[in-house]
Amino acid sequence: MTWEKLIATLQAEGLLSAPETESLQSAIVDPAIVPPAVPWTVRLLSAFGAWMGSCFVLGSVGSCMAILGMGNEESLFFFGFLLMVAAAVLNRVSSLLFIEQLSVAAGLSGLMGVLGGAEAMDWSTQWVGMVLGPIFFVAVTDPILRFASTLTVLGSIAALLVDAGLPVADPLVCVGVVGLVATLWLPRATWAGPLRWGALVTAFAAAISGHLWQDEAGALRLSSILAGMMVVLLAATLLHRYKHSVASELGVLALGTPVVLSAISMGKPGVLIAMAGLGVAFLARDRVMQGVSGIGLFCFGVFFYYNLDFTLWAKAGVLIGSGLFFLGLRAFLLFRRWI
Amino acid sequence: MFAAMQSPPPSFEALDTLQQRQVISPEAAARGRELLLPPPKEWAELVNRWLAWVGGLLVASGVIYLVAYNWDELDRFSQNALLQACFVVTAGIALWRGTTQVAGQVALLCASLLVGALFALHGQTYQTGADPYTLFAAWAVLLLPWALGSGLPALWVLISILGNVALVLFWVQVIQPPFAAGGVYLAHILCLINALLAVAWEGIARFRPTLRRWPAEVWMFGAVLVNAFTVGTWIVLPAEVYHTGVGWSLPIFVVFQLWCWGFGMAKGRSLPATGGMSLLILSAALLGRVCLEAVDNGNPDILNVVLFALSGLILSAEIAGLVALLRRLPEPKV
Repeated sequence: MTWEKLIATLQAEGLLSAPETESLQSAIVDPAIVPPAVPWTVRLLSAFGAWMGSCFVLGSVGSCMAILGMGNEESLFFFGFLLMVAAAVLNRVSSLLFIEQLSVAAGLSGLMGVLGGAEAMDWSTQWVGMVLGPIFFVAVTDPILRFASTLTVLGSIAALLVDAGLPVADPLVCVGVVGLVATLWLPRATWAGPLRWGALVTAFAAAISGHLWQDEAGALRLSSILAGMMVVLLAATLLHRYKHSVASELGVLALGTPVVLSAISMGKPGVLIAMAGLGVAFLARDRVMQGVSGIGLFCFGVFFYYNLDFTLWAKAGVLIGSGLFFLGLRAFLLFRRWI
Repeated sequence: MFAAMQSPPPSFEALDTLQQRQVISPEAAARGRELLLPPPKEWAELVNRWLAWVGGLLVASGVIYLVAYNWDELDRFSQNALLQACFVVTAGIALWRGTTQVAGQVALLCASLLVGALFALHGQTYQTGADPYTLFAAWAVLLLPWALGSGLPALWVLISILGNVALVLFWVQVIQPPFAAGGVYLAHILCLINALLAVAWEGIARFRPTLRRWPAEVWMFGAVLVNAFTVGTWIVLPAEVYHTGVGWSLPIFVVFQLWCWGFGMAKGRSLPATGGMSLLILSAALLGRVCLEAVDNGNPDILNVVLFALSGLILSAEIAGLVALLRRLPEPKV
């Protein structure tokens, strides 16, 4: 879809008047309103540099505290908070690229400083993170800072669970996967992107930690069920959006497949999280997330098969059998001209 | 040399901003969001592609698993027959469907994996005594005609991975460098090879505009990682550990940068972005070294404040400069 096609369609449907068309055409070439597309290579470079820069800013803050002879804890918290405020202000008032990058470095180091200071003062880091994270998310406009805020909140939830002696991985996967799918209904697309990434990273990280460190079989049962439900919800949403009946053959297939997969992969929700990630990324037109979810699907798939408690003969049979199942499903869908 | 900045295609974020700034009505924005949803045809292609890849790779890995882990239960004839039958079937499907279709692409990649499995089986069965690097090298060489004939990017990436593994094994098993910097030399060679591959791919893409560009990005990022590792190590670790031969790092780094920027300027953002990334890693390592030495030397604290703050400013300015430069380059095709 190009701007020309979009404008033409909206005009044809009477949703754009002549003056609106004119102002839209001038707005889409204004980088302040529609910023130029940034490829993933440049975004990666920018994010990497921001994290590096924030380490130096933190070093500067540490040295400053030593000079002022302040107690490390309070001053770290204080300076961190100041940096967060400065980052939010700079982020909002200036569109200069240098200031933008500086505000990202300041914001990241501010977040780390505040959390570190709270920890050193024996405050509840979790509650500080849960309160400051959402405020900072709304205060700034940069996606990297919003992503960091999202991770702060989700990390705080994880820390609260650890403190309460509750299982961490299972609820965190649930929060991550529900949050991931919920971003599709967010009214603001500029908020949805960082939240989507934060939710996916959290769900993946929690699933990996759950797989690696929870020795109790089926410890991730709840999240497997919920991840399956989210994929079903995603499939139902798609059917609704593309005006297919849920009761049709395609509908039954689209809704039934995640249910079966959820049952098969009970206790190992990684594959379903990756499937949800793929679906959400495709709907949100996020190519990088599609790639990351694809890699996740591959890795969790390998892990799933590797850990099957079968004899080696049976395991080889399961691999070939499931491969043939997917190829057969594809052949069936092609035969029915659904794909 | 720089292409004019183009407005990006419509996105959900752009419609969001336009609605907030009251350039378009909420109804128009909502309809725009609907129009941006992928059409059913795109979903069908996605499902088709994923089912074919997942299914094909599962079957191929299942066959390899069967042979590898059931060594005693299967006799030599059965092992060979099984792998060769699968190889013939997958190669036949690739030939029949052609590599323009996803089924043919999957079949060709599965056949390529089975070539390696056959080599491993041959080596195990007849105990040829050959070094493992020969397996990977021969595997890569045998796949070359297929890659040349099909032009399948994934196959070229597989060949490059096999080539890299063969080189590492050759270095470790045959050359066995006795000095500490041996790994650094190897990293330089790997960096140069991968960068050359990327440049060659970009060069070919000049004559074949339909060629997918992502393998060049993969190779350049591989190159930048090993390059950053060597140059970063050279700066951060004590000189006595890595002094031997590490002097080569800097000239190679300069050549690498020239490649990245020189070739990338005309072709798109991916090469300069990888060059920029390695430049950034080098700067961060250099600045880190200076700051750590200042702390270690017990300099007055005020100097440390200035040094750290200045380093943060320099890095921010460097990113801003690089991003501004990269934004002015033409959009790459993926």
